[in-house]
Amino acid sequence: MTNNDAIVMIYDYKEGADLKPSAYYLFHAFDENGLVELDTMVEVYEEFINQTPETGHLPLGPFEDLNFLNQFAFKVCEKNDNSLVSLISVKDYNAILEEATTGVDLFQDLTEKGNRIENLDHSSKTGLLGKLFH
Amino acid sequence: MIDEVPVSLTTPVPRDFDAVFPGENWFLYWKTSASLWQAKFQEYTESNRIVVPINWAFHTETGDTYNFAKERPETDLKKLIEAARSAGKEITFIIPITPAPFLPNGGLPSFLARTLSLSPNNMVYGNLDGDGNLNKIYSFFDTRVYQAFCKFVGALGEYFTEAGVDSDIWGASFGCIENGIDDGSFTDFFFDRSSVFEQGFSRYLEAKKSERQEDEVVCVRDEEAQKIEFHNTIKDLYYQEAKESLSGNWEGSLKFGFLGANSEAFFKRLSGNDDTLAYSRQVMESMIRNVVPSSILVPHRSKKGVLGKQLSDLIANSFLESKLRQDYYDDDSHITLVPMRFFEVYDYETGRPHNHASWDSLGLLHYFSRDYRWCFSLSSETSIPFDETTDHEEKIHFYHGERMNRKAFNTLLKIFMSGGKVILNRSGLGIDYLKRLESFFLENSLKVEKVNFHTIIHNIVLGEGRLIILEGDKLEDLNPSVKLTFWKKLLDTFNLKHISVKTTEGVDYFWRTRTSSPSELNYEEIRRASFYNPTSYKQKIHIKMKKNFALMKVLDEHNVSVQSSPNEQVIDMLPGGVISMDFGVYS
Repeated sequence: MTNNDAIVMIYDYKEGADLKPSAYYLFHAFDENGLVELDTMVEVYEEFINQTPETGHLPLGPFEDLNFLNQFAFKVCEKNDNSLVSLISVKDYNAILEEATTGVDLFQDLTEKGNRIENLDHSSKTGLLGKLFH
Repeated sequence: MIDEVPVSLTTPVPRDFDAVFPGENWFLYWKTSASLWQAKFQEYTESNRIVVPINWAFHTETGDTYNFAKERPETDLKKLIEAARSAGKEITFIIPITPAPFLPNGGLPSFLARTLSLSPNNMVYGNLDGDGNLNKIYSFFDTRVYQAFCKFVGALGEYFTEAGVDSDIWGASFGCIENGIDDGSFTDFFFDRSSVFEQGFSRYLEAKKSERQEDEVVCVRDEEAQKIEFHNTIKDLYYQEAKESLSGNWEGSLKFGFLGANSEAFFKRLSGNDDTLAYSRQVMESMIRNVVPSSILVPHRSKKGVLGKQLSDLIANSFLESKLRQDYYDDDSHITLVPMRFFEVYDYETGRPHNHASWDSLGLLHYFSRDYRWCFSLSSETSIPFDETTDHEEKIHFYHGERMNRKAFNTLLKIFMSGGKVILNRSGLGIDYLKRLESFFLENSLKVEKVNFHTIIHNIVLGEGRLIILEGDKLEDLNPSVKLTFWKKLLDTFNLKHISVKTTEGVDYFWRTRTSSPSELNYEEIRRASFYNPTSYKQKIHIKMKKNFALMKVLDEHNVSVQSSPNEQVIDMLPGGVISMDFGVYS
């Protein structure tokens, strides 16, 4: 199934150094409209984690564990009113990219092969009525 | 993904033509039949200079033999030159010495595409071409790739000699201008952190250790610097090999920055979005770094409007030509415009750790963007030998103490002694260099004037030459507006002749200069300012006229209106507005 309304998020685990603990970081987030706005993600991060992110730019983090990252991703998805979020590790991203031959294939594979969390409250805006009354 | 179909009421340009001429006078000879070359060249009216990248993979399948005109007519580069000449065009070849983002496997023949290169974030590099094809980048740190490259450039060199090919060839380093935290910096696609790179790096460290006969432990901070050194060493091997094999035609090296190739653009483009606003800015960012921007990855539909105009004015018919022809500025032709540069800034290399503040964090680049927009060059190369043929008096050179080496130090002093202007940030300058400076002042009986203005400033004058030494670290924590005032006051003392431009946010402009023609002898110099409004808003520009400047003509007006008065030019720009103005400079 192709889902054009999905957010794709690419993350990685960074080993700690210089008193900084190991943690997950979000490297890229995008959907069919382009990049997900950093300000939106920082806002969600601050609300959800109750602290400011390490830096004001990507990679965004730290996330203590994958559970936190998943919940954060879902909240961004909810806020943006996307239908689902597909979370992919850098390792999986590399494997998917190696197999893809076009940008269309890659986008589709990234939305399908990640850890998909659906937003059941997503309002379908595809129809005219959906667009008018949302 | 949205597949945009451009709607046009005019006759559509055949797509085949776009594929072979993807932008800025590039011609991709393998994308069309050799029998059509001449017709294509005749059809092309943008320029008489055609840039042809050599496609390594197109000339070999197994790596055992190389095909130049033997089996396929499309590999006949001599015939290509003849086809161009008969259409009144001149071919300039470029040979990639890094992976090429517009070719499958980054340009490597498929038998060599073994290890994918990894970015600093350990992600595989992907690039989308104008048709949405995904090109992956493979590591050039594989020894088999290097050996095959040597064989290829050797065969190409022999072919050039035997066939009597006399066209110029340049070694091309392909990369992109970064967005985000590394905003504006140039990264080349040679960069790799894959296992192949790491293995090579370990061997390199071992070799260095045994050379020095020392048991040095490389700390993490040094390791990154050593990796950059290893990267540069291997890249130089490729460069030298190409240079030697093609010495008869060799002209030098050039950097090309591909629009749409940085990771941010890649993910935007994956969902069918080309950020032309970002590309417009990258065109300017490229030029100040002496990188030639290339739009060949960007689909033609996204290059209509302001971006297309910008690429045509500033790059295809100006900057690219000035790079390919070293005598361009000295040429007697008066139509030759080159970027206007008041300042040469030597800054820290991207990715290499440094202990002291960069020029950017000292507020210098912010000041330039306000008062001397894009009128400077930015380089991390400090080991540049002194060039006697260059006129140093015209420019102000900025050096960092921390990056000082013997070559840079000697160049700095020679610039000063030959009437040039130098600003040296002494933060991080070694004690040896400080002593050498002191003895230089003593030996030449130079008077050192000392001023305290946010930091201690030493001002030394020798004829036309000026050397200013300041402690940059003291400026770093100042308020941004105080930094702006600091640089304005300091640089105003150089009495530079320039026109002040005030724009609303989103409008960008670029200054170029040329010598006056015989019919313009009232002026010493002609400066052209080209303004672009890539936004979808109305914008306003105020140009304050100064003495020594006269508005000569207004050209290329599109979606703009100009109100002229002796003291000021006011330009109202509609979305997509473009205009250029020529100003004569007189004494």
